[in-house]
Amino acid sequence: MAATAPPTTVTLTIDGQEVTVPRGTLVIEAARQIGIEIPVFCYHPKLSLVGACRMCSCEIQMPPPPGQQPRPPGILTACTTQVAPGMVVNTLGPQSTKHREAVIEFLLINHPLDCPVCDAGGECPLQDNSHAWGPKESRFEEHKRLARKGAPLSPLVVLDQERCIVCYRCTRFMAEVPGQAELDFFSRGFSSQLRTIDDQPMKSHFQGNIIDLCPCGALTSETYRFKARPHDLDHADSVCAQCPVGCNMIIDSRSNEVVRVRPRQNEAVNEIWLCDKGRFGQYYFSSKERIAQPHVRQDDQLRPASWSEAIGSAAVALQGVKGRYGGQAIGVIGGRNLTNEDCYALARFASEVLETPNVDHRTGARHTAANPLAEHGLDAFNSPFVDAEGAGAIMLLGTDVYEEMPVFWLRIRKGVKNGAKLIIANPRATEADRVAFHRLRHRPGAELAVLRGLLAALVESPPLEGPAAVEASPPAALEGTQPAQAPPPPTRDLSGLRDALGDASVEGAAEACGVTAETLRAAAATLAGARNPLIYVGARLAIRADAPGLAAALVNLATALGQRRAVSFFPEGANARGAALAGLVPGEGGLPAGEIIAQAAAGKIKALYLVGENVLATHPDAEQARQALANAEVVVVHELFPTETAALGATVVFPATSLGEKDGTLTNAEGRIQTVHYALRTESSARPDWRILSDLSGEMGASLGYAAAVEITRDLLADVPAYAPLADGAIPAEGVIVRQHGGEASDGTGTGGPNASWGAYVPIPEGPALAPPPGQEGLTLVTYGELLGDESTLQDVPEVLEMVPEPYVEVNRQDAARLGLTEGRLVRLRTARGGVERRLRVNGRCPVGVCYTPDNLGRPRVNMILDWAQPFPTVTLEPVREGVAAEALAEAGD
Amino acid sequence: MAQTPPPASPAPDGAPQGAPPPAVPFERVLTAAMGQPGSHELDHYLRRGGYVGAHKALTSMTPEEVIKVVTDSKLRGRGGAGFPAGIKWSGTRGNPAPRYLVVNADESEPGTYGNRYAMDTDPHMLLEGMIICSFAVGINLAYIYIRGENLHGYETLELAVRQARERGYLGRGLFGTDFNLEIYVHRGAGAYVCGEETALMESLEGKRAQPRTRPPHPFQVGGGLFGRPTVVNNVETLMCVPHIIVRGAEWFAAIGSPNCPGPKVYCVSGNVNRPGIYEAPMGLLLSELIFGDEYAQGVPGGRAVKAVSPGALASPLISGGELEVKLDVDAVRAPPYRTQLGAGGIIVYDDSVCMVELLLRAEQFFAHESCGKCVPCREGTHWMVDVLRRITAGRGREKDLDLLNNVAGNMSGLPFHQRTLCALADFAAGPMMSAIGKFREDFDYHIREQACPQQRQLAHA
Amino acid sequence: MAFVELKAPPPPGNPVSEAVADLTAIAKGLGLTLRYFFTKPVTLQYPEERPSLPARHRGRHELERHENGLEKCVGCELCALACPAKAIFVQGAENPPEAPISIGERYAETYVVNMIRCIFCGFCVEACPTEALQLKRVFELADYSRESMIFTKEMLLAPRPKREREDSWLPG
Repeated sequence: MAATAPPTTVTLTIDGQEVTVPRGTLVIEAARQIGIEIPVFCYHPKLSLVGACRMCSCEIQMPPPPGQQPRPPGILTACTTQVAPGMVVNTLGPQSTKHREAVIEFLLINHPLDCPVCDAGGECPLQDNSHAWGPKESRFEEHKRLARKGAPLSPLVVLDQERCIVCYRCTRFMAEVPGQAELDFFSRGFSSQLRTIDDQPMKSHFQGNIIDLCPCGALTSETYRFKARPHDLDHADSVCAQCPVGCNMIIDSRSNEVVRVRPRQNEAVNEIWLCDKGRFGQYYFSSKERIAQPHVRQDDQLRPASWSEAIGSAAVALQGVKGRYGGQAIGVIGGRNLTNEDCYALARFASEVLETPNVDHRTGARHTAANPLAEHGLDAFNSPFVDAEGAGAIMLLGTDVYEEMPVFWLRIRKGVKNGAKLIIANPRATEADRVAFHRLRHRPGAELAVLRGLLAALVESPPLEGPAAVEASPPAALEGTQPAQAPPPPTRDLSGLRDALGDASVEGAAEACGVTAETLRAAAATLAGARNPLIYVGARLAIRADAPGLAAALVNLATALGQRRAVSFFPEGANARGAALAGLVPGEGGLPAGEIIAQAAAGKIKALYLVGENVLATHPDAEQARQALANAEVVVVHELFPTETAALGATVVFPATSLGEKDGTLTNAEGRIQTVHYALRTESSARPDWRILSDLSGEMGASLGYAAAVEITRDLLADVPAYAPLADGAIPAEGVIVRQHGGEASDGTGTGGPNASWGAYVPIPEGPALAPPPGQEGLTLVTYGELLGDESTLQDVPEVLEMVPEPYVEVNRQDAARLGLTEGRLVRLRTARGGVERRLRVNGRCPVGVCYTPDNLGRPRVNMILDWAQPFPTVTLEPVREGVAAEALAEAGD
Repeated sequence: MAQTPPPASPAPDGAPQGAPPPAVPFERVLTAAMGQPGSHELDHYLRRGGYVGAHKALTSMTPEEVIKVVTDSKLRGRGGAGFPAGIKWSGTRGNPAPRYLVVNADESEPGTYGNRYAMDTDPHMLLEGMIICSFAVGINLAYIYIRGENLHGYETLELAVRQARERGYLGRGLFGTDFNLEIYVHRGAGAYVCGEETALMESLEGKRAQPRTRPPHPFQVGGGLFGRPTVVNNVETLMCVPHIIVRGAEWFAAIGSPNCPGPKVYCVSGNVNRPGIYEAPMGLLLSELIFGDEYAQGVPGGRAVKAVSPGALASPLISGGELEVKLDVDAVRAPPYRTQLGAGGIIVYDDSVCMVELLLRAEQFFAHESCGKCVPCREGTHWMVDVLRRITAGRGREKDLDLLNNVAGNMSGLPFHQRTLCALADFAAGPMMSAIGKFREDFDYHIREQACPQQRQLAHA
Repeated sequence: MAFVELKAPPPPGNPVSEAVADLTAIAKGLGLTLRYFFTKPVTLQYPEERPSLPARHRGRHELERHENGLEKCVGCELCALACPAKAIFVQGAENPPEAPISIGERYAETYVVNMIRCIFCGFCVEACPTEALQLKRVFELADYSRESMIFTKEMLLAPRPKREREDSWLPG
């Protein structure tokens, strides 16, 4: 293809205007550049070309071959025709307008014309183009086609086949962008019907996007269906806080209720996509379940109270603990889902008012280093999202990115389409495995051994110096994408690495992690041979006890690949990056969040201040969390919903406002600070977290003195060094990436950052043994997060709840056969702590000897049976008899 | 919607036995084996001088020489578009390997059945043509995409491929050279649109059979099969190739029309005394084909010819007064005929045929077979069927004729307009517009009298 | 402003003819009064007497029904969009197929007209694509509270037809 041709430009004439564009540009894009909009239905810049609707046809006159007469202009589609030198395009010529009129007439003969009823009415390309280009009246007098109406494609998306104009946008999106071809047209021609494969409901996390793409109202949203018309809506530019991607969105509300959420274009973050949790998971802003007023505990019962009473009693209680035991006896957890303003206010409150170092935003964290890479002079996340598009190899370690950061998965997938080789190290098969180049199925908890193996393989056969290391020819698809940074001169002297590695061998590591030495060597070779390799590590690894060792090994790996910035950790919450920057990290001698709970249970921490943290459901040992709440003298909770933590243990509960009701900023995984605007008025007495903290600090005699979020933003930007470039307070609409470490060093050999050893290999500390010794009775239990978990944000929308899977446990076929269990059985997971019931899923995704269950689904949560001392517990599975009355069970038991 | 039944097949001995026209000594080469039992066997083909051309090309010629001979022979594609085969081959050869050859054997046009008989009687001639083409273009993998309903043809081809592979005519190191070729036979799933080359390739790739956008063209990277440069040729085109190699380009170029030379297999059906397959020089007069003694021998009962579809159902109609047209690609395209030769399926309608009923049947076929990708074709074909159905049901209106003509015009892209991705819309629109233009009285009668002008309806033939 | 030319008063004329002219004028004026004395009075003794309204008088809104009793309104909100006084609020909802309310897929779950705001321009009627909304000839809308001037859907809906036509062509 044109990959080898030098990039040149082409000059052509469109509607009398000369325009010069790069070779290979489509006529429609060239016209767009000079402000000429050509009507389209099937064309979409993010999707492949089909040329199906023929709406964009223009009169295009090709330059005649030398020595020949020019041919008369022909009608060609502007969306599939590439520019040519000397081409003359007439977008408004009589032939093309006549043709467009014919296309509209053809389209409308079988379109129901029920615009007054249709949700798309008022924002429908078919409607707009019909007004602009269509005939005045139809000559069609036959019967219109009848087809399925109101047919659900999933609990979220509804199809009206009669309205469908068969533009293939939805099927192309599903097949090309997330790569989940769950939709296709069945039958042909006039009777083409959009259907899901085998008529099963769609399961993708990205199905909401086809509603945006549909140009005619055939696909509508179940949650927005008939709720409003476009002109009713109030719009607010916001940022999604359901995961650390930080997708830009527009919240559309009517009568102070969220009615729908649309993506807002930000090419650097989410392009124009949203995942279904982001799109359908924002209705909780206007939930009826929200806590409406403060509560205080009296006679072991929470009772409603006024704000002044609640603040007063919280202040007295906290002052009492502080006075009696000192600030060290107070633990503060929260912030990963709050705005930067709330985080900063909380950090100041903890250090200035409570005077405690026990502050953390990472629930369940076992070590104090909020950013395990910090000691190596790196940020937690060291490359912009867009870099994934131009990577030669991408390694995913310990993450199911499809569930963890879905929209970033689309970016990685784009990178894979552009030629990146995907290496996945995960005990369990994930969605990403479908396009993986290497799959390293290691034992649970053996990530460090995998990294050791890769490093040993690199030492065995060091990557070549110079251009040979770079792939022979970059894939042609890379053209036109944002040019990646020039690859730095590779550092290929691996003697330092050999020393850092000690006596580790590939075989030894293979033995330890359960991946064959062959696979490790192949994966290492792929990484070594790729330009711009990138390594992404799951958030769960960052808070594990062996995180410092993992970080050291990863830094060594990245350095050996000549790209020290290649490694990035995913954050543990939507605004975890912002919380860390704002200072919600353990201070000098402070405890990590998990230890705060453990110490509270042990009676050493006397007061807990929990901001948006339902520790009973999220701390990986529910019993310990329960004890912590029971033993703490004071528990102050900020919450949106009446959670079990608030109900069981809170001394004072403050109702907080949701993200949709506040102004502020969020900082996403890549460190991009973005602005959030409020969409709704708060109807209850709930207050923003920063305001509660400010009021409470005033009551405690050391007022933070904030009266508006913007004051905090100003202080935050001025106070946190990473935000220094923004100190003037102006955050552009697309956000700005901020760097905490090594901002000045841009290559692998630089010496920037606080640590002088930047660029050198570092010793790898041995982590604690995580996995239980093999050969034990039962299965090793691994927990992870499911995207549609944490139902409290979804609880008001039954359509979304239908998408939430029934709490399940995943077991390998071999184990299931051995245990005599079958798919769909209800089983009880039992440890020494007790049992929880889960639906059994039997498949080949899960490794033998291991069972997987999401820890953010189902009540009780699986943390009921977890033990803080055992990160990978052993569980037994026993079948539960269903449909049998409790008495019968009891009798059987007797 | 039922598909139009295939035309009555002639008996094997129905093949012409008579001498070629005296003016030009013409020897049947493509249908030479027709009627000979066992002609599909490799041994039979070898006895008739089979694989000599392939041997000659591979052992004594360079690929460039082969392409030059084919170019010099002025061989043009027999599938309908009439694109010069040599130019297509050299264009593909100019693009990087791997390259593919796809034989379009999806002969699904009502009224064409020449390829079916050719593949049944002489499958090895096709394989030999494919070997030569692959050698010339530098192809190591070739596919035959055969119409799914043609089970017999598929089995014959599979047998032929197996026999050729056993004898070393396919596989590794053909004829002692280092040239390798593998051929796969693929059955379609019953879609007319698969006869269009890009839809055929989509189908071959396992996708929905829908035409692709062009450019990139099939001979370019990104446009062909699996995104690679691909030669797509008709069965008959490739069957001509061994003879060109053996007998030389001059022999071929001297047959028939100077611009479009060579032998051509015409399939005659409809109201004629002797329907069947006739090999004749390109450029035979249509009247000769219909009335000639060695050809179809006239219309039963001595009735007058009312209309002819020269390129099967999809071509604009020729009226009975225009029979003195030379049947070659260029001549039928020229005014006043403005029609297409297609793959050479000639359907003759005598004066007992009502054009409205005929058009309804034809448009039902195209509406059923429209793949639905492009709007004008998907909606237009169906609209025309609805209107025609109303007219035949006696509820026609005066303005319906203008409407039909206008709808057909809005679908038809010829000559310079790409109103749709493939020619199916033109196929549906062409007969419609020509019928309204030339046989308007049938439509008028239907609308005025609310009845068919003919006593008998169009027979199932 | 233009100058006004001051003119001298007209010279005094014949006193007799002037007197005749004056009397004629008085007679004319009194004649007019006398004529109206015998015509039908314009003033209406409302509310004892009822006014006769023009055929196209624009009064109170009514939401019409089809002959089979289903509502004509499909909740499209075009009336609310057209309303220059923002007097109309409509909230649509999905029409339950088992017990349909309107004939479309959608119906108006809430339909409210604020009669204080309404200026009776009739734009809503013109905007209505299903001819569901009509301005009836009811004009007596005065009441004592603002709340009671907010007309809900129940107040606006036309009564169900006495005998619902089963053979109606309409779906539902």
